[in-house]
Amino acid sequence: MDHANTIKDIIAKYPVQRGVIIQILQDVHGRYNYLPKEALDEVAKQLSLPVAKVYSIATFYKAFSLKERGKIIIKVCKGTACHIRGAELICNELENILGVKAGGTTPDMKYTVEEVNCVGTCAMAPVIVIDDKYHGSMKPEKVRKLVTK
Amino acid sequence: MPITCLQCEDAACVKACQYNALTRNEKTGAIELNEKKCVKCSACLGACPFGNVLLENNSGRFVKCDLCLGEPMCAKFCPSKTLEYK
Amino acid sequence: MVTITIDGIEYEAREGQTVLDVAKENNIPIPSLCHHEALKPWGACRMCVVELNGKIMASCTLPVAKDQNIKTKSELVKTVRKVVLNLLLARCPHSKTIQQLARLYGITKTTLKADEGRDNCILCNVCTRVCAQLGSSAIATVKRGSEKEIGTPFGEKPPDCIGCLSCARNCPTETIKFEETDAGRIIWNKSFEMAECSICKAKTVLTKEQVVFFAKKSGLPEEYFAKCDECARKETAETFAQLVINPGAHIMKAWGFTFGKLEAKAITASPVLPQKFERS
Ligand code: SF4
Ligand code: SF4
Ligand code: FES
Ligand code: FES
Repeated sequence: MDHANTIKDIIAKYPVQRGVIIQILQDVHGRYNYLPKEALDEVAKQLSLPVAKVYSIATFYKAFSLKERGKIIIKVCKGTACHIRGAELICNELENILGVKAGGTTPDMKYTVEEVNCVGTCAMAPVIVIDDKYHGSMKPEKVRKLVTK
Repeated sequence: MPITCLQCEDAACVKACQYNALTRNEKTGAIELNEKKCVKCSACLGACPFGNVLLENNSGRFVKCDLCLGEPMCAKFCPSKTLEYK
Repeated sequence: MVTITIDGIEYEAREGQTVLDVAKENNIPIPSLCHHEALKPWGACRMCVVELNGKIMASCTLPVAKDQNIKTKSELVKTVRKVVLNLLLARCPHSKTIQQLARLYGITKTTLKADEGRDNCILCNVCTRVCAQLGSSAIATVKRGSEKEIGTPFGEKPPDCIGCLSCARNCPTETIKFEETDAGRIIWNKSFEMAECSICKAKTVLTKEQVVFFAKKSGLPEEYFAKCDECARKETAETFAQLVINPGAHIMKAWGFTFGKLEAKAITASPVLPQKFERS
């Protein structure tokens, strides 16, 4: 993969100023589905920033993943409302089906399970988000229907 | 022959320090090392072409001649008065 | 110039100074951990708090202003500093620095649950700031919240580190470990070789990376840095000697900017120079 050109194109979209690094990282994340080390090195090089600084920013935000993620991202809400209404059960069920804990990716790189804190639809608690689609009032049985190995 | 700091006009140690810890005392003309600002990176020690910035081994402090703030003790105590400070 | 009052006594302060600057100048004790005079104020540790108009402020980031009335010893100040120390002691119960400071405020043990599995880092960022000011920025804070720590990019050997040890030497809690031998040093898991003296080939006190970096940063030639003190002094002594014996014009020239290896060699070869200038 040619990181240098990909990154160059992404950086070219933004004005040269402090603070665009986060947008740039978001785009890089969107492009690769995670932040590969080589890409971060390249961002640092092209922006003339210390790698340590870029890495520091990349690890600060929960929205960035430094590990390669699966094709389908399942976000399990563990916010207060969802927690009370049984998010833990949903998590356990996902672990049963997929064999991975929150933060993990199935070996076939199909699914990544992530924990998030409140996705803003507490009325539908407990909520899971599969590839940006919201599924409310989750129950373990419903999870089984939605997610198959 | 003992060699001590020449208090260079365009001093290498001052150029090397990134922390503004070496400054000239306008009264004595000496370049003084502000220990509180020194981070002990060794840049000045390396930079001095005459080897006159020293690292005190037991205390880990960096030292250089500051003309004892205008009253050099070496000259004061020199028994044969070979050293003079004018 | 502004006049400020600290603990009932008036002090002259310069515009742009902080309250902590003025206190330090006048030997008024205010404890501080994240403050370093070579660095910009940071305000992270909250150890340096003082009272201003009934409010608690970090004195290291508080600029002096006309007619400020600062208290450094009030009950409120003491209480807040104790809270800070109680928290710090919970974070790093084994740090000598924190223990000593806590004892000054009558605390020997934290009332909170002590965190045993951690190093002594208090996240004061002195290390990262020292490194950044040098121009290396080899280390930075990693992650956030309760997981925040000081680290290298990707947890690997930091590519930008030059092995100057400044981070370790300035850490208030001596958290950053390094190893030093005559031949080299190891810090952040990265090994460094010491640069050789260009004259006697002995190891200097700078790593090879330091020589290159310092030379570039200061605009001075690398030869300046890759020379041991002994040889540098010897060269100077020889030049001085020659100056006394034969204050010739070429020496005067050598004494100027071109003073360096070439001239020094010529001097050493001179028959007039007695052996006693050799240092063992
Ligand atoms: S030793 Fe390395 S990390 Fe530490 S201050 Fe020097 S360059 Fe930075
Ligand atoms: S390692 Fe030391 S200097 Fe660096 S943040 Fe931690 S306590 Fe401060
Ligand atoms: S807590 Fe889950 S959506 Fe708000
Ligand atoms: S010294 Fe002021 S907050 Fe740390």
